Amino acid sequence: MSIHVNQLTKRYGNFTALDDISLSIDDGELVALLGPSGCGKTTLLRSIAGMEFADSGNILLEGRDMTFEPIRHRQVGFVFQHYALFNHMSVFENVAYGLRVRPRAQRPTEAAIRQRVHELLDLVQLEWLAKRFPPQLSGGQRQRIALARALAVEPRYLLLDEPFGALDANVRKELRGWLRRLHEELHVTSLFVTHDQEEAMEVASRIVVMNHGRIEQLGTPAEIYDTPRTPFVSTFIGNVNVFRGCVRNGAFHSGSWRLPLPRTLDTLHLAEQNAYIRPHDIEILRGPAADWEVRIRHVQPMGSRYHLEAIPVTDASAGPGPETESGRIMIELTRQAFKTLALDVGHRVGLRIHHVHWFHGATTLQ
Amino acid sequence: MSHRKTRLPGFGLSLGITVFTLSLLVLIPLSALVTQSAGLSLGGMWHALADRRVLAAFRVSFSTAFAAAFTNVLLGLVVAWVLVRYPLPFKRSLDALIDLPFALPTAVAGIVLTTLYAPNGWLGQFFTDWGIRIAFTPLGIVVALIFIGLPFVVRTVEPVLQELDRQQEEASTSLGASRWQTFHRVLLPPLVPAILTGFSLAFARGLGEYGSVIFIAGNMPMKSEIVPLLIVTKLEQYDYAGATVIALASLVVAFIMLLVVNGLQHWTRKRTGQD
Ligand SMILES: Nc1ncnc2c1ncn2[C@@H]1O[C@H](COP(=O)(O)OP(=O)(O)OP(=O)(O)O)[C@@H](O)[C@H]1O
Ligand SMILES: [Mg+2]
Repeated sequence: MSIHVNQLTKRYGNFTALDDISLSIDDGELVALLGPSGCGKTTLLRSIAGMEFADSGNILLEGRDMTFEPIRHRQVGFVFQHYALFNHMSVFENVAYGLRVRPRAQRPTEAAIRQRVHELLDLVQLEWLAKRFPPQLSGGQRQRIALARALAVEPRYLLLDEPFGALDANVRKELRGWLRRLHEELHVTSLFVTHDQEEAMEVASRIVVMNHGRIEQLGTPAEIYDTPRTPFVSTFIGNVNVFRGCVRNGAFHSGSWRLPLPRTLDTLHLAEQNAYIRPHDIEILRGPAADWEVRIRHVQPMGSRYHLEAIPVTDASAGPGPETESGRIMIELTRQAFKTLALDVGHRVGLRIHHVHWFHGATTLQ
Repeated sequence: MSHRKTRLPGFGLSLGITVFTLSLLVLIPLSALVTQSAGLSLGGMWHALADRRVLAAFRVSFSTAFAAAFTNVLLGLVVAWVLVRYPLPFKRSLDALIDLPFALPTAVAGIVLTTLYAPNGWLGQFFTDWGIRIAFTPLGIVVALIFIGLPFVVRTVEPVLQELDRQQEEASTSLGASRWQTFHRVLLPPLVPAILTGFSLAFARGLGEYGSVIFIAGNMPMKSEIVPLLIVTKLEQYDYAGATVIALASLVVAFIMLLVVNGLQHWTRKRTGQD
């Protein structure tokens, strides 16, 4: 039950919503579609489902070209961002809908429908709500009913558009784990849209990162995080400090700051080359062996980790400090390290950089 | 509704205004009607109503109003659908056209329709070929009432249709439903209360309509004479008591029918969890 999308392009007037999209999803995978608002996630999902028709390119489901096949022949279960439950039907009837509209010859008996619906309501743990109507449910409950309704027809593919978009953080977390377990149980090839990177990382086996109608990168959560292929991916997934500067004479220069690089990187004496450094790849030192010196301006405890913001300290004679996008340097520490170093706002400390990402290869220092 | 103190502002004042207006404009005139007819004994009332000509007028009025309201529901649904769902050129002008029957003096409508549908009229001639007479028959009354009543259905159904979530239709098709199944299982049920409202408005208007009907109806007693005309005739003959009794009876029957439609509406809402 694989999904193949080949060079799909979709325009609205002059605006290109999908730009030459190609991607493959294997049987039984759970893939996340991640990207900023307006980048074309919904459009791609709707094209795969057959609710939108692309201008060029094609869509293969299980190897068969389905580009022009209507929705109802695609055996795709679709869960809408805003649920789209039938408000005039009870929860039970909503879930039963897909079975009731089958052609008479394939329609299960009333008893079989009853049993199937109760199984599904059991699966989403909402058996007790069968007689209610959708407007009488909470957001999380509606979402799960929408999922049960889509699953009732035993779809071969499950497409979910921001399934937890409208829910609060705790409910999202709970449903996320639940979706993953459900997928382990059912093994339906699934593609879900989200603009929450944490959600994508936690649930999906692979992530598709989109921007401006294009795919920026497709890979496992670890690949996406550790070896982002474009600056966009690097800044979109997780936090990153972008130091503007260039590599010259075996060192990275940003303002008056210099970061010596290992010999192997000497091929990189390119002109403009920004350094991407994750907050947790920066170590704080209270001694001389530091690369750079900063003053701590802000401390934010985040539970097990501490987020710090620091500004560069430079001698007046040396010229301007390094240029980062926000003017500040983000640093992330474990609670343990923070306590050991006894840090506080206003302290002057040294930094050592452990890992830098360039878009011509990454460097691990020390 | 609970009977606890409501937090809605201005409840007392607006209730007062409602009761006052309703009394002044509706209840007092209607009770005057009742007291007027109280001059007649029960037997006298019965005598006035059991007249064959009166009964025939009732039959004509109610059946034509019903037929027209029913046709309007079907037509109005289609018109509202087209107006809401399709990108049409001149949509605004078309939209304004719908309200025209509201604005047109009904007599004008009556005269125009009569000219068009007369046996040798512009449209009537084609029907004459088929052996169908429209003007000067109950069919003519229905035509006039359709013209008068259409906006009621269109204007009540249109906003509800606009509010419908199109994704529900997509959800329905993605679950394997055909177009027809999507229409009658997903699209139609939320429209039923609005359709019933449109129906009762068109029906009520049809019962009371006078101006446009008297021109096209031909007004033959026992065949195409409507109740409002009969009342006017009685008045012209200084038979005030008779006119009042007919008016009262017409009112009671209409009230009962509207009550039934309202009950039906309430029931559908209840059944579909909208209340
Ligand atoms: N019917 C349409 N007509 C014109 N432009 C459209 C239409 N539908 C979508 N677009 C445009 O296409 C782009 C992609 O839209 P899409 O809904 O796929 O975004 P998205 O990635 O799902 O965003 P979000 O995360 O906000 O839901 C948007 O810029 C949007 O304005
Ligand atoms: Mg979207």
